[in-house]
Amino acid sequence: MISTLATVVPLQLADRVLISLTSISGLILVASGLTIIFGLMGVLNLAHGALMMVGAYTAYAVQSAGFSPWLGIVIAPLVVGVVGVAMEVTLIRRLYDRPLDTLLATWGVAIVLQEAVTIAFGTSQKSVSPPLEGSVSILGVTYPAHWAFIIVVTVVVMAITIGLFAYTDIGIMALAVIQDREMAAAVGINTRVSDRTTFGFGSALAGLSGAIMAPLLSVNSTMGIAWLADSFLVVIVGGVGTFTGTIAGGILLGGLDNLFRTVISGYTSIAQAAVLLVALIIIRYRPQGLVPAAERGE
Amino acid sequence: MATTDAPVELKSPASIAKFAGLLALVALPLFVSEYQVSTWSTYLAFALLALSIDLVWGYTGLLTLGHAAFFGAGAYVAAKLLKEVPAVPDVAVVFLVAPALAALLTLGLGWFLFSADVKGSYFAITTLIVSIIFESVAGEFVGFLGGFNGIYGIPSIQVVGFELTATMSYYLALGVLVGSYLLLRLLVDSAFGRVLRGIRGNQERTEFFGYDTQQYRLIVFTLSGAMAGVAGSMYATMDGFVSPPLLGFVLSTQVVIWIAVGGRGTLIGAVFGALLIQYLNSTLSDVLINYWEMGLALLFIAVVIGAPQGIVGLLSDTVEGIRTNLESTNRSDLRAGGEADD
Repeated sequence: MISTLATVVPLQLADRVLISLTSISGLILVASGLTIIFGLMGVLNLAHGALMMVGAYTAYAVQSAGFSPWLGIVIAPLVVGVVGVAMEVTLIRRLYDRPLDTLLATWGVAIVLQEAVTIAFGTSQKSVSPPLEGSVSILGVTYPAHWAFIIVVTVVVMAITIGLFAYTDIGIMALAVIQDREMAAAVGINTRVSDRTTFGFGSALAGLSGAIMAPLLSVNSTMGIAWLADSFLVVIVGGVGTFTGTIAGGILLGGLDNLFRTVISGYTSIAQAAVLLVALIIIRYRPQGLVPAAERGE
Repeated sequence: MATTDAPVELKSPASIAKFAGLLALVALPLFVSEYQVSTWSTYLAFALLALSIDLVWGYTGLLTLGHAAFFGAGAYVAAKLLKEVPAVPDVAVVFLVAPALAALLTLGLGWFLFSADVKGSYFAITTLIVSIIFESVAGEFVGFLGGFNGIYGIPSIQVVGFELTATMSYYLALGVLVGSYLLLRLLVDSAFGRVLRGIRGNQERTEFFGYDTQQYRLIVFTLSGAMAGVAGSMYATMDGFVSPPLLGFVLSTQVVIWIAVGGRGTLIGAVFGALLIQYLNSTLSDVLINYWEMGLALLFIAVVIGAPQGIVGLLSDTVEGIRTNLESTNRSDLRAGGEADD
């Protein structure tokens, strides 16, 4: 996950807690788009990691064109949102009743995006500078401002997204379409527009997460793959179809990741593999996840 | 599909095409350099992996994105034993130990997943995770498994003290591939194969008919794992080098793309797709670089959406179409008493 974090900062307890919070937040932030696309809509989007990667590259492109890093964070979700809408219109729409084919086609999209980025930006790793330089003092610890910013952004994004689907007409209509397409159409909701908007919104979140996480990661065309697996695990382990599930899944897997990294220090891959193993066992014995969604009328 | 349901008739266009393809593969070492022969040997090993995945995905409907883990396990065990334990005969390592280990792994994983009825997309995702776990663990064991650098200098197979040449290894791989193809052909055309297709079509309905689908799925997954293990061990002896990406899910998904483009659920499509795309990969990726990968991905998307039967399916549909067309014209010729030319 965020392997650079573990080594940079000396390991005091307050540091550890903050680092864990940042990496858990990052995990939840990246998984949030998938919560909508896979969790709510049921679309197995294997291009999720690639969409995040495109967000990171958008941030890089905006910066290298000489604009403020803040502009990158604003533009990335727009660009990736448009990519998502294009995906929905051309591919996903034809595959709503063929889940395994959706999985395959979106993996094709992931490869296309990876190759497109390589053609446009070359194979070298890019680094993206954070919008907030310097550090802040929290709990008596000097902490990089951008790392604290990630925690804040995640809380805000999750609050807005939950609010959007709970209280706004657009969100409620989107849920209605997902739960019962025919009934929603019968009461006058344009289901096609709703699907497109929901998918676009989920993609935009993936793009946003890419732009925000980019300064912590080495940006390259395959960076999305690890985050793809992690995002799916967070959503499934947490409980498919609920935002609280994603938060719970992020806390559990991100927390375990930090714990295993500390316990088996020096063997980051083994720690990661151990987290995956725990996730696998949870999926096997508790497929409904930590926070099961209420019964849906399917 | 015409190729699966029709009884074997030597004159059908499908069997002529298969026979021509086999002849081309048999004749190949006569026309290319020794280096290319060993490259083609690895293509054949990957084609065997594709065959094993097609059995699980194409026929049983279980999309596995983790078969590289079993392929890689076979490759690694062959690498370790051939390099460091000369006491065990090479043939036994490649054709017994490697598949047995891979079969044990698939048996264990299959039991773990099927006993909880993990299927569909969850099966795809859990097998994918297994592949990632294998890859990262292999990368971490620097001393024992060579870490990210892998193991190199793996000798080719020795039979009673005599080392096989590149050409002999090629024919060995071809023989194993053809043998496996014929074996699976028998299997999928048998009553057992019909149950597999039943599981693919509708698992619950198949259970209502009294079949223990869990057991069927376990058998087929284990068999397929053993085949992936042989493919991996043969690959290790022919390429001489194994590394963690052989276990990873990127390889698994690549092979799935080959099968989809070739034609899933036909066996021959898996072999055809694997050989064709690997060949094009090696010739076109130098010229077109990233555009080739992108074009292939676009073709894959198009096949998934518009032509799930793949190239082989499209071809056999076309041939079948022409054939029925001809037959019906012939018949109308007869009926019209030769006046059909107007």
